[in-house]
Amino acid sequence: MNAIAVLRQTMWSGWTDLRIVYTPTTWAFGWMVRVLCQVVFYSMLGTLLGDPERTRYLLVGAAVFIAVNETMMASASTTWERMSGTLSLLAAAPAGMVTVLAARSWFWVATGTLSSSIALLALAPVFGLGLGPGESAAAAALVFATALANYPVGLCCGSLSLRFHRLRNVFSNLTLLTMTAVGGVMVPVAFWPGWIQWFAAAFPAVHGLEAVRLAIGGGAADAVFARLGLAFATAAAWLALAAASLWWFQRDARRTGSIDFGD
Amino acid sequence: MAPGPGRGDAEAMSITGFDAPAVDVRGRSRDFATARGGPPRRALDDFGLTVAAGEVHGLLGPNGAGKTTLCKILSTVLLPTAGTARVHGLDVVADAKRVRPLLGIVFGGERGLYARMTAAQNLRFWAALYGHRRREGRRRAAELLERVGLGPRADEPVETFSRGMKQRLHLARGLVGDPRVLVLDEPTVGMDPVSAHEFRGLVEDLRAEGRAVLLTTHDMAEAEALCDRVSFIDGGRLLRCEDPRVLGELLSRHERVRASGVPEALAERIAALPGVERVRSTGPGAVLVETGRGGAALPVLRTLVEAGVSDVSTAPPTLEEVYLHLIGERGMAVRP
Repeated sequence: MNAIAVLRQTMWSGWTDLRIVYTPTTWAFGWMVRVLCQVVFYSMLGTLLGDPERTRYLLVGAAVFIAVNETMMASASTTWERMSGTLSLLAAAPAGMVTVLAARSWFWVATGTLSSSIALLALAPVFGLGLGPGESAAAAALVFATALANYPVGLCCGSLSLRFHRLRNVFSNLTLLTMTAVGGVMVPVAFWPGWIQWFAAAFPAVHGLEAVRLAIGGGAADAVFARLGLAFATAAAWLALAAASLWWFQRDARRTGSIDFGD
Repeated sequence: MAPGPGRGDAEAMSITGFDAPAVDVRGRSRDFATARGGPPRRALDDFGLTVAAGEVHGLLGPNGAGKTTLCKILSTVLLPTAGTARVHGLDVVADAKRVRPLLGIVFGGERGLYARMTAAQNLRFWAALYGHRRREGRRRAAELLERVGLGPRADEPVETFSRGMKQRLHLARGLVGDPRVLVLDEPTVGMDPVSAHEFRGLVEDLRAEGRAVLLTTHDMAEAEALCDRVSFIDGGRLLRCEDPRVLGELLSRHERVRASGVPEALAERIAALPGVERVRSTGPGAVLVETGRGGAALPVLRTLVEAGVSDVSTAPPTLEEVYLHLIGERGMAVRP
């Protein structure tokens, strides 16, 4: 089977899905306005506390987690195959469904990177975070890396949503809330007890966010790359988990009959 | 377009052989678990069926009869509970990966297509999943779209298509892997008569190419027009496998006459006519006359018209009525 051809066609299919989600107008005046308001809201908490350091911390956390938020939407879009009635056809196709389901939601990485980077770079000067061209470019690249690393987490939730369709939004929301709570978005990871810190370290986005903070805070390149390495190492584990879960879903559906023609 | 084995399967087919029946189902059963730990529901019960290469085989049965369950098993989407099913000699359980390139699946309705993608993009997507490289996928998509009459609309989004056009695209998608066996699950459901007629023409072309077609339908006329053989299925069991000429005979033999404004005395006269099996009252002065042999409807119509009854119509029996006749003749019981 020509995996590259499958990936290329699947990514094109995903691109057409994106046009269901947004038009340029709804993205700019709907989604982006909401994103900017959300980041301003959290950053204002720091301003109200009169703590510039806290303000910048909240700004970066809230802005970078927009990318995480969007890539978690891969959970919902993974189930769109069932809604379009193509799931049974994928199950019966020689290439199977795992590659298609794993690749179809890639566009969230692109839109997440874009909206998160715009929020971070546009609002940084407003809240007293001066970023030079080099820091801005590094921040955008690391936001992309964070989104990419978090994508398998969304996929994993998507595979569970396919399997347990009635709970489809629960998995992604619970995971996102957990990452937001313990992942160093509003409060440092170090605030939590040790076992929670270990738990938080399982999420790629936590390392990605830390890499962004280090890069724009003058951290050493080695430290940034070490965090990036951790992000991709954990992402690889999540990707393997997602692939296994999707494969398990297909195998189990064949046994139980949970995929119908028209699904 | 000459049919051929799936890529990479040519050697396998020389072993298992195109000499083997296109579809060979023996003792197939499939149980489904029921809610609250009740006894399993049997969707297929010791089912057997053989479809030769180049045969269009109709599966007829009411909703829930087990037709789609059989199609899902053959398509490798569902595992059977017992028995064997082979496609050109390959077991759909043990050799599922080798069976998939040999099969094309088409089901009716609006679903199963990517609505925002164009017709050509849809086909190129599925071509990739069936192992075609980019250039080959483009060529195959263009060829199939021309074949189903969608060439001029190839670059338009599917969401702008009529139901008939979507159904033709479904068929093109089912053919994208150049399958030896096509599973058509109620493909003309909801189609207007012109589109359905065109669709049947395409199916006849497939038979001429030597492809086997397993067609599930509720439409007796469609089955009669298209199929080389038809199998009646209900409650997961094969009731009868017939040549459609026998089906045509059944249809004409059991013709029904509806009439209104029929006095009771006239109804009694009609009931006494040869070939009339039953006269049922369907309302005040309205009757349904069921005949039991070919040509019996004619004297009924003549008697009604001569008596001055003008509101008269004839109709073939419903599928359900033919079933009841079939079962009665063969002494088989329909499962609840």
